[in-house]
Amino acid sequence: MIADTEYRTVVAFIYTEARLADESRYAEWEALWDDDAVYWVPASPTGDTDPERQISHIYDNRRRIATRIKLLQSGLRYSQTPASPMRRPISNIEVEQTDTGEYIVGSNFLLLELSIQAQHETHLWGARIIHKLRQVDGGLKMFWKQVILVNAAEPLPNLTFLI
Amino acid sequence: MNILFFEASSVDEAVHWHTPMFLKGVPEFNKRLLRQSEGAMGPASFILPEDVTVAGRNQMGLQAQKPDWLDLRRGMDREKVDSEGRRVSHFTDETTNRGFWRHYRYLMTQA
Repeated sequence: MIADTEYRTVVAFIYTEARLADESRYAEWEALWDDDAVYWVPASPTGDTDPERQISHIYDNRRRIATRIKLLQSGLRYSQTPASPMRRPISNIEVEQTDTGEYIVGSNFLLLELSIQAQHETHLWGARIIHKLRQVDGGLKMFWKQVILVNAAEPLPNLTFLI
Repeated sequence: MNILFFEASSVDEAVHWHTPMFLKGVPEFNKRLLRQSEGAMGPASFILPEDVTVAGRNQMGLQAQKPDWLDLRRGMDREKVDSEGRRVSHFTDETTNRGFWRHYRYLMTQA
């Protein structure tokens, strides 16, 4: 078990990350990542595929996260021009601490997304999320975010917003 | 290198399936092909979602019924069939789109 203050700090990070993603605040969201980042959305609802051999929807290292953000900021990403209005409640948060002092955070989320760029469809996304966080220079950074979508193996609409 | 499938599911919807092609005996190279496929195809990639959005806007335009036609005539006057039976033209022409819709019409009406 971790101390209450530590738990609250971790949960506050998770909420901040969710809000920055909801509001497509790209630069601030990118600044949450540490250098050894893995941003992974498997194409399987069990999330246990091997990303080196099996396809994922997203399997970004730090460099590809930067490319993703640059494209979103360019104004040429028609699939997010304008950005989808979104809101995501995060719940069922469980925090574990590893022997090396890093945090592994499990949560569930529902995301309501208005895909406003063409036909104004409303999409509901649901997933298990695993964050891995560590202290860097007195603040938390994330170095792993895995989003295991309930419908990961179904045909999906555009997923070019920050999930 | 990808294989694509268009699965028409209703009059106004189709599913675009894709899978990367791997080569035998080069696992490290295949990892690059996997990352390239994820970069180009799929709902979170860097290319296809833009096409999906534009296709969605086209769909709205088609439903407006004005104008009545989508014009895919570009290059029809310089299109020819080569010695191996392939229809070819300049690479900026709509030959590939005409081919896609010719086959689509065949599947929807003859098959």
